[in-house]
Amino acid sequence: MGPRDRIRAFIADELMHGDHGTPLDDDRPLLELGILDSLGLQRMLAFLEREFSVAFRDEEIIPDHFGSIGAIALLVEKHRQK
Amino acid sequence: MIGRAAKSARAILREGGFRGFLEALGPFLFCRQRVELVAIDLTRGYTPPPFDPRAEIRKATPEDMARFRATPEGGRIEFFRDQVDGAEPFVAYWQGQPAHIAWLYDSALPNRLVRLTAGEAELRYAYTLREFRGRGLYGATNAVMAAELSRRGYRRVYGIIVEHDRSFRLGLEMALLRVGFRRVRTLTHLRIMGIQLRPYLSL
Repeated sequence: MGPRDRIRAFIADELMHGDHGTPLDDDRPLLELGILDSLGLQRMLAFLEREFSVAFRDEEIIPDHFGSIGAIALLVEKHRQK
Repeated sequence: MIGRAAKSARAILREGGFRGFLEALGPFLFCRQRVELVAIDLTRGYTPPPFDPRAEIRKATPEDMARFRATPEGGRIEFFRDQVDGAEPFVAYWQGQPAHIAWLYDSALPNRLVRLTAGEAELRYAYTLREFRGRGLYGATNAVMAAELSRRGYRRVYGIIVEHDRSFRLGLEMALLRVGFRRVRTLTHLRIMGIQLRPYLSL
């Protein structure tokens, strides 16, 4: 499973508790819709650090990087290439 | 004030036991926090954006409060702000299940971060039950509260974003901005022995 699908599965299973009534496309606006809320974003960061061995600086935690599954996956890829 | 403090202490003991009580005592004795203040100007009316039809949001009745307090997380202090401060509760159900609670403070109530004048209100102490997180209930409930305040003739409603870490803050901020709150300013909140010293602003 690639980063996008692992991130998608984490959101569906851990943050939305299996609420499969909400579609999770790559471009779905996670922050705007509250799918990634305050605690959810904290848990997402912990998941990404654990799952992909990456660490983010405070200034990277902005809507452009966490606004969608596609954006998060891009950020992870960028870090893994370093 | 002593009565309120006693109620608050009882609620904390009920939730977290003696250890939780000691942990809560530290911030009570000394608390210095950065706070981002956001607000909606209600003078031209306010219509909340549409939200998921599976959510039902309304001012809480005593029956609602009993249902919410009977949930596994219902012992938390966020479920007792009416008893502690006299705040007005709003609740959100998700497909009929208790899911989120939020509180409205007007200028007559204590424990606010902003010095309010008549016609202003502050929204605080929201809590989403674990099972229902990630559904946008925080922003949606605040929007319903803002609409209710607008209907009652209020001029302005404030939202408070207490800084924890960057990710926590971003999640709150996005939820509030999406439903129409706008940044007002960042301030530093200083409280010693439960008494708020700074800034307690009049805006």
